[in-house]
Amino acid sequence: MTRVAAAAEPSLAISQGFYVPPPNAIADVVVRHLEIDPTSRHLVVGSIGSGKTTQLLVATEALNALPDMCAVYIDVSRKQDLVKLRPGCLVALAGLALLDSLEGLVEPSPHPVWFKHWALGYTKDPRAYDEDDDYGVQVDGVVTPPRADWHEIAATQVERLAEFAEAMRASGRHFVVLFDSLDRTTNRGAFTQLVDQDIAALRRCEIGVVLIGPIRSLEGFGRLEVDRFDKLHVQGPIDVAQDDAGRAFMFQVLRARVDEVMLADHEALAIVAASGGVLRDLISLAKAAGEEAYLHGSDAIAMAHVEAAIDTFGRSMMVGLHKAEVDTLKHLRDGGGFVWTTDDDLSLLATRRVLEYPRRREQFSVHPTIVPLLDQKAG
Amino acid sequence: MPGVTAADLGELAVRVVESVSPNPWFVLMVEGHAAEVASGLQEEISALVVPIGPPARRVSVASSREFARVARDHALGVLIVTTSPAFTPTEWANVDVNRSQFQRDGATVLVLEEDAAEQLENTAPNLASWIGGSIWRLVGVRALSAAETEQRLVVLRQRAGLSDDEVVRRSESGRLPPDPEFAEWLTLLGRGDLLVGRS
Repeated sequence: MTRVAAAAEPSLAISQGFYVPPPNAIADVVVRHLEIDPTSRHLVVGSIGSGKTTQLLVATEALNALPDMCAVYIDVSRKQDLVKLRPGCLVALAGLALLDSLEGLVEPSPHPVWFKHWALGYTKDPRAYDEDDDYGVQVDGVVTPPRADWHEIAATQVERLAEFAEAMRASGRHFVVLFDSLDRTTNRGAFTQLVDQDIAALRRCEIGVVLIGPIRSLEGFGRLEVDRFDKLHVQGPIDVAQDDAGRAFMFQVLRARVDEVMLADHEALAIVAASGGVLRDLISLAKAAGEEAYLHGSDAIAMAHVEAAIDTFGRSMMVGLHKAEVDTLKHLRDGGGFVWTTDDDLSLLATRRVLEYPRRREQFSVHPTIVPLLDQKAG
Repeated sequence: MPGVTAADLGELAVRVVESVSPNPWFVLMVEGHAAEVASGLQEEISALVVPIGPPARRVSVASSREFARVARDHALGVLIVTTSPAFTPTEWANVDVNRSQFQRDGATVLVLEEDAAEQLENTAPNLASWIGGSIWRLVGVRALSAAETEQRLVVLRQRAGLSDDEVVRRSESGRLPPDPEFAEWLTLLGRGDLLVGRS
């Protein structure tokens, strides 16, 4: 059961050959767009556990297979505390990655060192005279040039990054950076500021960008963030209830990891249905069913093990639900629909208790594992 | 609201130890005495894990930063975590935002009071998606009935192809592999004394 690891690094599943391309894979779409316009900017938005990171990793690999591309995947949260986002973070991270990729391709110059100092900080003697410091006083002229979109980021550093990107192009390759994890940020203001400033600056440097952003970007004022990008890609759960291709895809994801001796088709399809089309939940449920089988001394997963796994999963998902939320879920389950208006509604979506299928007529559904539990009393 | 599935410490310890995939996460919901429960769980797990592997550790954290440091310093082995009252919903939100910093190879078990578990589920949806269905409610330790013990022993005998006497003999002569299943087997036979000092 080591092959079914819900919280393992997605890169592990790819390197082990478990990746199954979903229908209309975002990775393919993004790569095609960047082939045509390597400086284009792409925002990827989607629910938790829907496979966004995997798509970004696959896109990175596909871009690097092209002779005129140099793509770098950056898990922002591994390099930057997402609670402390500020303008310039993405420019700095892109620059550091670009300098790594340029190793040996550029003439020796102090600019990379100065850029790294700006990005990562440095120590200096506060009493030492610094020739870089500008002691002059700026006197404005009559003509006031328009402010750059990235005015909160040091202009000199943006110009240096543009210079590094130009060096990469001179070597015959366009630089593309793929930023992961920014969907987890809850600091709306900081994220908006980051998108406003950094994406504009990266555009100035003619660097292609793919960024995973928060689901909030799709509603209300968040639309302004979407407008900063050339293309929006929505990665929702796979429709396993009404779409045969979607169901077949999820089934193949399981099959790539578990053979039919361990998990027969009937049980596998029950897990697919219970997952609601959320990839991570599919893997979690399969893992839990496998553990149930193991603990009961069985070499194969029976329907009883699947049912126990689904029940436990649903009960876990209901932890923390308030009465009003349960009422909303019952209303949706009973065909009353779901309108996304309040923060509580957004919370139901963010926690996957409500699933949104962008391409389906009935766009919202209650997560299948909690449907049978909604009427149960405390126990 | 339906309650989460119940488990006693022994059952949860087996689930944690047998969970072989990288970075598995568990939540054990308790009604008070989280530190004592965590200590009991550490003992149960320590009796089952391979003695030459990394030991099960138990920590109490007051902030997301402290939690991240512990996760980074102890990437291997079972980590049992309780939270202090200072660990507010804001701290859970910080854990959620920086979830990648909490990726470990070993299992992580959060022993939480019900309100803390609710805060986690509602303010840390990304972490909750790692946990998935692995939330359990602690029930008092109860001894297995004679029938349940025999049922489990049948499973262990079939799986290993060994008899009870053979397992005891091998343990006494130091030839029994340090697998969790054999530790469980000896415990069920009432020969937990043979586990002491095994290495």
